[in-house]
Amino acid sequence: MQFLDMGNYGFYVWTAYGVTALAIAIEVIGVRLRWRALARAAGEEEDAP
Amino acid sequence: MNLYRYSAPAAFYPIAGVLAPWFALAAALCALVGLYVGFVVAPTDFQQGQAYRIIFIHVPTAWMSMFIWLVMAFWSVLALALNTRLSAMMAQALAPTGAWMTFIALWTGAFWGRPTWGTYWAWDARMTSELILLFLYFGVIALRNAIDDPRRADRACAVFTIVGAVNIPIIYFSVQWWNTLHQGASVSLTAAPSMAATMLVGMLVMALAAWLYTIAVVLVRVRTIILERERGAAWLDATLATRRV
Repeated sequence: MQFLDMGNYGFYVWTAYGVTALAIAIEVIGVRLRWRALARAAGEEEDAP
Repeated sequence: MNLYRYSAPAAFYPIAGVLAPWFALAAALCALVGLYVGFVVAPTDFQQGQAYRIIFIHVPTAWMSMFIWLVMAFWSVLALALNTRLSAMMAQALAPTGAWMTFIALWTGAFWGRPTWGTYWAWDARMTSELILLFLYFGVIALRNAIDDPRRADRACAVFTIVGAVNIPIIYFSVQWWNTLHQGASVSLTAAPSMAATMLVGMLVMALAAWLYTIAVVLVRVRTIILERERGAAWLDATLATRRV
């Protein structure tokens, strides 16, 4: 609890770290989904006669 | 080994796929070590209390936000001078990550500034020029989306990126040129750092994590760009047919 409290600066520290984690999650998941969709589409095109 | 071989998208696509997970793993390990040093080993700051722990993400992301634009400018020069497709693709792949880094630097700066300076935002020289950098990233992404022909978009974005690089020294030296709110650098190449050694180690390890993260994400994104732009190319069909990469 003392750790989460951050000497009364908990709100600022965890908002900064939380939004950073969210931003990284959005970027990583977004780029992976995009790659997967494109790789699948390219693979299907190739299978088509 | 002929390294120029890898300047062709056909040769780079599989190697980027092999390298990306290793950079991602290294980034995650560095982030874990950096956060451990930053939150457990490093002491509380005598002036800023625990709020200073925000700098472990603020400073590395602010560095990356400037550095990524310079790397984009480097690839843009190559793209214009040598007319190489992959150089322009690298610049294109870096822009969204640069924008994210700039956003995180601004956001964490605001949440550090509020408890430390008493304000989330001020029209200070450093903050304003960093905000302009965010708009430049949006600008280069929008410019590419506005031009249908990818090769024309490459050239337009390359010129935009090289001209926009003028903002980087303005951000970097803003704390010396204008005496506004943001303090000067605590870490520089020419002077001893003005912080505890463990704080510095935590920050440098986090900076390394930011580098490795950027490389990992950009490698994956450059693969998506290659898939988009080389669609229908014989090499791509052959690569996708022979193995799952």
